[in-house]
Amino acid sequence: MMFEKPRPLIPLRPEDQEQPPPAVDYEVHHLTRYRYARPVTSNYGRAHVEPRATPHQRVLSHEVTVEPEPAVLTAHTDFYGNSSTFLLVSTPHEELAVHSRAHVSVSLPQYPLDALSVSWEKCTPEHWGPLVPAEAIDFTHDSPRIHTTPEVQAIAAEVFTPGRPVGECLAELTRLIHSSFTYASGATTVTSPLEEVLAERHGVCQDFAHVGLAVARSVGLAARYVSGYLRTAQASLESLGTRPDGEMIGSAASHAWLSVLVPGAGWVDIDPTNNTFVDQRFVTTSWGRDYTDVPPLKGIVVGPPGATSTLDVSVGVVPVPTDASGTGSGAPEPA
Amino acid sequence: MTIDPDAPLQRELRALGERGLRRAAAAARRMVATDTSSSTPGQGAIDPVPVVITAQEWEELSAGLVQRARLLDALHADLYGPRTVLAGGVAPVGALLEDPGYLRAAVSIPSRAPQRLFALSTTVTRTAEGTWSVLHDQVDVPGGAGLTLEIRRVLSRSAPALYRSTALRRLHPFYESMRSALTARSRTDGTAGRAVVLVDDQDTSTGFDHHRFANLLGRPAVSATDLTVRDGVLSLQGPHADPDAAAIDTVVRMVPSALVDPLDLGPTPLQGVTGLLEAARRGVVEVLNPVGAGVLESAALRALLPDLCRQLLHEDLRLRGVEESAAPLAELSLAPHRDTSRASADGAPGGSPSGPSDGSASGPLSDPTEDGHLVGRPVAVQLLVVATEDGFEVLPGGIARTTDEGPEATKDVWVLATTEDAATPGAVAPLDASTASAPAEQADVDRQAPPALPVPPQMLTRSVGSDLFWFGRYMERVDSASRLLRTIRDVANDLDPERGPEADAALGVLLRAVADVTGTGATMQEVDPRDREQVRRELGGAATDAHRPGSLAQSFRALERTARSLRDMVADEVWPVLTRMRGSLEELTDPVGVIEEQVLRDLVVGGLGLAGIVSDGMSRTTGRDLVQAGRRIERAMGLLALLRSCFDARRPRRVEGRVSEAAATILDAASAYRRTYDAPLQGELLLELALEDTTLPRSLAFQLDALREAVGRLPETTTESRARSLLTELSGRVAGWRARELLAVDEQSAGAGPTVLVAETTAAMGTLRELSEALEEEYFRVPESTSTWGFDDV
Repeated sequence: MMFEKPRPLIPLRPEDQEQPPPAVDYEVHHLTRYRYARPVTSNYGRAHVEPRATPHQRVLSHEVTVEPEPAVLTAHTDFYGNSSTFLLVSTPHEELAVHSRAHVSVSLPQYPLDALSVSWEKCTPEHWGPLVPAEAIDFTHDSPRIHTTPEVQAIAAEVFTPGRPVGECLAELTRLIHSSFTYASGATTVTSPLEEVLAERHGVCQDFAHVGLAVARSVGLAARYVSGYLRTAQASLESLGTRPDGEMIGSAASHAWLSVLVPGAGWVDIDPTNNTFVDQRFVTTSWGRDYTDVPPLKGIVVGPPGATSTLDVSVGVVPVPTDASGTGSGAPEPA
Repeated sequence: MTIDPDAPLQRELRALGERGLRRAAAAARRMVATDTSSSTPGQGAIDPVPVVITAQEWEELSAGLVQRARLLDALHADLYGPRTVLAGGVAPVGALLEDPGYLRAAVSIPSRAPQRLFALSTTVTRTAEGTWSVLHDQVDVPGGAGLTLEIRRVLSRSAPALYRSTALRRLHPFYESMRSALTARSRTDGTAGRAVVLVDDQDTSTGFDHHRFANLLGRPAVSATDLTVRDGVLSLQGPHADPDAAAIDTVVRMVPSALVDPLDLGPTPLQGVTGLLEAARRGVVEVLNPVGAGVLESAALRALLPDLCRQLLHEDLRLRGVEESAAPLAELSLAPHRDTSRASADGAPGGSPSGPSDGSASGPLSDPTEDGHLVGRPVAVQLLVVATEDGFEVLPGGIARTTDEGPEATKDVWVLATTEDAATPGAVAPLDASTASAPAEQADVDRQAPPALPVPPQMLTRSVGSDLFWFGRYMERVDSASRLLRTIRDVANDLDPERGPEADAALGVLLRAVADVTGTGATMQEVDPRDREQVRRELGGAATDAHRPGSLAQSFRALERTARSLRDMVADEVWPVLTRMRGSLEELTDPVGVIEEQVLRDLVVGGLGLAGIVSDGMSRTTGRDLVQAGRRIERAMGLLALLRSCFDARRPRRVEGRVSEAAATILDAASAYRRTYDAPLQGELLLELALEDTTLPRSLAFQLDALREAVGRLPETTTESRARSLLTELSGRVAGWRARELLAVDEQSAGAGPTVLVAETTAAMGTLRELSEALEEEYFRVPESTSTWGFDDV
């Protein structure tokens, strides 16, 4: 059993490594269209689609465009340091299109062996030391979608055994969620309450991230929800909405995973949906306590009663040559 | 007890004695109940014995409060800005981050003034050692501004002698600077800004205080549905909305932060103003207090204020929180009612008990003084701090509430004047009784809160328009129900001695009329008129059962509810009338459930009073036209229903005579009939009069004239107004009516009644209903629906 579902490899920084592997550049497109049966008068939206700078990610450019011409399109830095975009369309329209384009450069996260070798008990707030900001305590609390339940405690007891190295715990948590929950794919999927996900043992990437958060927080660790994208198939940029690349799940839309605070190593990102530590295939847009802090795009539409809408989302995350300025089709990318 | 035994106040208290004080308390309570139109029982007593704060004490206390306001203001700026306190090791980081009042969506919103907060309300208590300490703060929605003035106003009227005895600081100058502070703050780019006060109309516990606050600020009170963010600016929705005139740049927020913006703060029962938070972030509107101010009420934060004060202000905190060991000082108070003293107090002339709860729950007295009726009771004092152009200022007065086990009493808070105050004109209440025939604060009120502010037309919002329209409709509903019940009650009694089949038949017709006109209860139709006991029970239910749709009590409740949400849009005189009517309604039936005739008469008179206020007390604005439109539609519908019930069948002459007589009384048409026709009362002639006589205020012709006039004056919102075409259609239909033809009976069919009358009146009532809906559609209804997207999409 254990061999059928091996734990993901812990990305450690080799002692003798002088140069980390080269960074990978991506062109990211995220296009959302709502079509309405009857013209609507106003549309208010809030988006978290702009990739953010992290220790492993540089943002070379970013732009959001909205059709029709918005009356207001602004962005501010939110509580968690994410870019939060507001849009207001005040002219009658039958279709709303929000197109986010970004050019990012992602390097491989690698963590020091000694930090990931300490027991998980040594990663709780009382052991943080002065280098961890006091505000990180926020990510140890319950949040709108995250709380401890008996099922959460049962998983935690299996993963966080006394004295176990934290790196091993995170690998095991990733593996366990991946193997004991079924991915419910669908064109349009919706997050579910934590209890439902735990009871029915299936969900989408957001739900898997929520389970991981609940388990990590139940033992006192700081864990945050991360929203972003996954590299898509190596297709041309013209055909947005390409199919997922092989075994990777969730790449036709936005993706989500979680990140756990390990003193000495920083935030360590794990993706239970794909049973892996987060690597160069992942583009990070924003983080928060759970999904409700950073939904990629949400809004309120005002229009005639019964103006129902159809939704069409397509995402493309395509590697581009590192020296290119964000144009061109996807060049072959070595694995 | 802090009142100096030799002080003039003490002498006046002694002079008034228990009887005088209790009388003043009862009168004050009645006045508050009238002003607030509070129908909630159990509202605490009002105690005329004030909490006195000396000038010296006040200097210290108010300085402490100002420092506290500065500290909370600095904390707000930091928590919603750089958040340095979260890193500084002093603040309770975990507790703050877990506080549901810390709204993360509200970060980086600019402020137009040096202070971010506009007002806060802090509750303090005096300890036995004589120091003041803080119990809690109200920062998200600071209350008390309106109620403080109200308590001062009613007590200075009900116990004028007390208020003449002592020189105390007046409230008026404070309200003045509060108003100009808001004006200064809402002024943008050198032009005067527009501010509104956002209130929750349906919250009866705070409604009065918040509306009075709006009034004191001189700004209209609006509800969330009246506001929208469109084209990037915040504007007021309404029949008149001129886009420029309706742009709002300041919102004084009197609804909880979490309920104001569904886009960024989640779903809200008040619907909220979508995009308000972003509008505030972009600086096109300032929300006061800023969204998220509730985090400053955190208990964990309160405990650490001394350290935070040193960290942020580099000062020592002057006002400490209450320490558990500190005993609160017992303030001189009027003892709660005891059963023994109750009878004498209630026996005071004109002092009819205002409510059953008055003192009935009095607990044992712990510490009676020698006076007997004056005891010491611990109180909590609520004080208001407002950001003015010169920094934070404290209202020199407040609301004191008893905190012991006894029944709660509310007291005025006196701040004694200094000699410097006396040199400032208007700052001190005059001592001389001769110059103050009306006590000073009352003059304040007259200046501060003029009755029924004339409302500029563009301020007529959708929700207010709809309330005005329904105010008119409910007014007539109450009127027609009380008239019907009054007349039928008479008929039922008169007929008693000569009971016979005809009398019973007439009563049966009238009972059906009640069911038809008021729409109350199918059971009414099945009542056997011969069973007078059952008749009485049914009539009693139709009058007093507030859960029965269409009953008099239910219509009255609806009338009160709309009036309450209108508040300062209706003349002040409406409140005493409504209060009296409510009192009447409570005494409507005797213990066996029989309707008291006199009481019904009082209700009819009350209805006339309201009609008079609308006619003579409201200026000729769109608002009044909406009330009139509502009244006329309702009255016309009631009239048609009554006529249909009375004349829908051919009846023996004597039955018809009795029915016509009753109808003539209900319609106030008896004397007009005598003037018009030299004939005994006949159904056909009465019908003619009721339909066609334009001089009779309850005729159909009169209603249609008035309706055309009112609807004609409403602003045109579309070129093809459905309401106007329905009104034309109705006028055309009614113009073709002739009483004789309506009553014609097809002799061929056996047992037939006047089918034309039934068909025509039914059709006309249908058109009136459609007309009412069309008016709502055109003027009040939000034509669009709102739905969320993407909140859960992946």
